[in-house]
Amino acid sequence: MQVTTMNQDDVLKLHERLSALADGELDGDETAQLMAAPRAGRDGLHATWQTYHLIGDVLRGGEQTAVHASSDFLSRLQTRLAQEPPLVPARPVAMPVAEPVAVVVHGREPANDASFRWKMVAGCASFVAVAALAWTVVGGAGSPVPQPQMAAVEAPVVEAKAAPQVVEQEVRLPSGEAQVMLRDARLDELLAAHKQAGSSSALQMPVPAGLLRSATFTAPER
Amino acid sequence: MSMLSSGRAAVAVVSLGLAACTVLAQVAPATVDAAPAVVEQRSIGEWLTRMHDASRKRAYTGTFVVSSEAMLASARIWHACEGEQQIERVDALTGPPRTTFRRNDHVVTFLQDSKVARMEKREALGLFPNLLQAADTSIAEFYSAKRLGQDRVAGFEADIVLLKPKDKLRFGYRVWSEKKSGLVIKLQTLDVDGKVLEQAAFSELQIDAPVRLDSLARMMNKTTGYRTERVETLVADPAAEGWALSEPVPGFRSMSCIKRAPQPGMPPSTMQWVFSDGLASVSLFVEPYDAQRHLKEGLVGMGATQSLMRRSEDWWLTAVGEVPVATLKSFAAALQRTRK
Repeated sequence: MQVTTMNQDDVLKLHERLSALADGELDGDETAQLMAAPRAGRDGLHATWQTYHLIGDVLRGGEQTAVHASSDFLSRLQTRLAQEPPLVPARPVAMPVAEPVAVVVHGREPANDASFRWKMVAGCASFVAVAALAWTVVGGAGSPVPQPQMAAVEAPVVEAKAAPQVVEQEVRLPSGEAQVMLRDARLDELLAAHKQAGSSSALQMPVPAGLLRSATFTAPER
Repeated sequence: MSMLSSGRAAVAVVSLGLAACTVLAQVAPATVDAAPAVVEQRSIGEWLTRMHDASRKRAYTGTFVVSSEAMLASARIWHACEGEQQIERVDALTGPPRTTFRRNDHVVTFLQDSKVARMEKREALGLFPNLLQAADTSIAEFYSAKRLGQDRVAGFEADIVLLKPKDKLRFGYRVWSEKKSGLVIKLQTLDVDGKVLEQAAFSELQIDAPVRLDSLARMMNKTTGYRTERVETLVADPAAEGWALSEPVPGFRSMSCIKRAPQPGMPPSTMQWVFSDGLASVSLFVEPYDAQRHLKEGLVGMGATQSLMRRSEDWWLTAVGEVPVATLKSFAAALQRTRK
């Protein structure tokens, strides 16, 4: 059994950071530091993470959200709260890194979608959407634009290439597949500028310009 | 004896329950009937003002998805407000990771891969109320509003409102407006045939979330580890730049005109002239023609946004807008150079 080498203060600080992460108040650097926290402090961290989310769900959603906690989790939680060293390591160490990402995405569901079944449906739906997107890209890429296009203007995540050229970029889809999308960087920039300035609309939903940068263009070029 | 008394108790409970049901049944329909009558009578101006106010006066967080035939993009959003101050944080969930903060008209975009923080000043929002007051009949002249029914989106009950254009120069919209606050939680852009071109919706939403303006502001100012870039925009006068529309496109009024400050090593700066009819906007980007870069005229459509690229002697025009292609063509035809 691993003896914890972190003292009480460090543990508290770690929990504070964890709570901030659960509230979406932790920025990139601090999140990276948190993920790299020493292994000694990992015992029970996952249970603490789930506790924070459970607390948040109950506060926001009311009593019914508490129901979906599994008995397995509850027993681990009780163990943790009693401040007794766990007799069996609850999870492999790798899990806390992977799980928080998944939990963050689902952590703010409304109370009536608390059951695991609907999380699965949501997960499947998003996977299907991603698969559909990938399919469209693969299918649509059959007619690539042959001649060189506008100069490679500095767009966010682009490796500079000799002008003039179509800017190619690898985009990581949530499913982890890498797709190569052909984009016209200059038009992309103008689209972004249009979205930013086009705030003279009653229906201005919070659509940020950057949201459309990841999109492909449809074929109808006449 | 005990069975008899418990039997009586059961009968009493059942009859009480029935009585309560009949009372409720009589009361309920009356309230249900009254509400839709009030809601049906809202004018388009009232619907739009309600929707606009809700987005400025309510704090909310949620996940937002924009989808069309060819693309799907989503983002996580936080919005907080305090008096006249608005602050928003948008984390893109698709494409290159980036976070955009907007505080009134100051925008900071953190590009996580290249570690760049881009700072810009955009036109202040809130043009819509001015639009509504200045030309009261303008939007009502070109669109009509009709409540279609109600639906549930992201756990909220919403009124479905159809904003139907009165001519073929603009798109229609189906708006899901949350019943209590009026916040737009789903929006479909419909082309002239009624087909859905693009849909934007919250997949999950929390209205009146405990989002604090100061904590978002703090995150916005934290640029450690990022190289800051400032994008300067200057207000421009189209007439002074030498451009005018020979005839206005019905419904669309000139909103603003800006030029980005020229940057070293970049192509000469482009003028952006923005028009709007209250719901849709069109940007005309004009820059000097460069044979090396401007190779392809034509039309590109992505979701609801159409773009048209055309050369006009020494100039290159890119017209972009959430409008039918015919409208962009009208703009391109009407745009004229007033001086050499």
